Amino acid sequence: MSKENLNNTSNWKAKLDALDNLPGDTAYDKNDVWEKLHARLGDNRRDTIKAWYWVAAACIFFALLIPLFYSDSNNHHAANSALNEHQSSIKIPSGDKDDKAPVTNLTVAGNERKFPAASSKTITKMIHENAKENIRLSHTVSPTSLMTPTESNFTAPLDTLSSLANTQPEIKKLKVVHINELGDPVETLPEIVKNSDKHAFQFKIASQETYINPATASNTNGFTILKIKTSQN
Amino acid sequence: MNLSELIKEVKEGSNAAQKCLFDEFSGKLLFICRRYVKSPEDAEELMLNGFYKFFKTIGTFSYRGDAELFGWIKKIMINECLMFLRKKNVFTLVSDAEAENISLDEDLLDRLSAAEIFNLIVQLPVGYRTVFNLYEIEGIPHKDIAALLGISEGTSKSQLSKSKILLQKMLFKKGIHYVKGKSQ
Repeated sequence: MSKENLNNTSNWKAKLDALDNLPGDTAYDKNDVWEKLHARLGDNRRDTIKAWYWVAAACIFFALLIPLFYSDSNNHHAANSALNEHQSSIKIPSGDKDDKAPVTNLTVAGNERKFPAASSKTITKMIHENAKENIRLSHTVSPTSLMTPTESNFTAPLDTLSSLANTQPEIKKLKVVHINELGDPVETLPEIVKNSDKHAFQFKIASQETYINPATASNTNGFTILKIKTSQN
Repeated sequence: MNLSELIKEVKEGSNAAQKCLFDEFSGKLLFICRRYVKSPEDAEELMLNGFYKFFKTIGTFSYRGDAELFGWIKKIMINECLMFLRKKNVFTLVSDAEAENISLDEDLLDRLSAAEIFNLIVQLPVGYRTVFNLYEIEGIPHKDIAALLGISEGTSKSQLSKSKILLQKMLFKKGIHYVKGKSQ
């Protein structure tokens, strides 16, 4: 359709625009329609006020939540950083092939301790290092911050190791002494023992009274001395 | 009280001014809605929705004249009607291969009263009626009508042609027809 006379305002169009009632048509109740419209506008105002109340309540709620959220997140970050530091500081020495076993292999089952891959020397060294690290962490990080991240799984082996380190008593190096340097243990017996062992045994042989004194017997290198007391008869 | 003052008061939230505007335009706007939607109840509801939107968005309207104000409200009402019709899915129109270029003798329509023209238009099927209203009365080009109704431009043209043919038939039935340059 090439001819599009859009600005052509015919008489009939003007008549149609001006139409506001039809002969024989039941006129609509203007007031009734207005009441409906007015009610809807009023409802909307009430809804708007209600919506603002909700927005205000939500703002207050979030304002109350923010400090809680920040305190939680700060604790979490501190604990995470501490754990990361802790984790990075634990290194298994890579000298021997046996020492390359992962830390998670260290298990404590009941009273029995198993260290499957690492040599006892290396493990002792690791335990000492871990104990030192624990002491250092306890100075820098609060205990509550270390308690929080126990939910995560990767902390379990670390906890096992640290508990192991805590329960391990410190090994004292004793002076190595040759057995000859200790001397004769019999000679160093306390005097009280000797006195207690001093028993005299009396018996009669051919109507002669005889007794044995062990104190005197020890001095004679195994020879028992029998002392005979002759009767006055 | 003139319309500019009324608009100013409506913007300030005056219920009385809203009522005045409603009384001023509701009659005409209801018939505009009825040209698109046959049912008087639906038309009334659509007019109500249109006024509601008008009062809600009046803050953005700047008054430049009575005609512009009426045009703005009318546009809101027409959009409401088109939305209503689109929801009812009445625009599943099939495009014809050739849209006949049929011109409607406007002299014939001029001889009719507003009520007669209104009754003729209302009798058209919904697709014809919508395109006829938009193109012939509102003056919207086919391209825009196609975009508004979600149809092709060709469909819009063919619908208009058919609506004109149908109107001429109706006029002929009424005894109003064009004979060799003369209208009888």
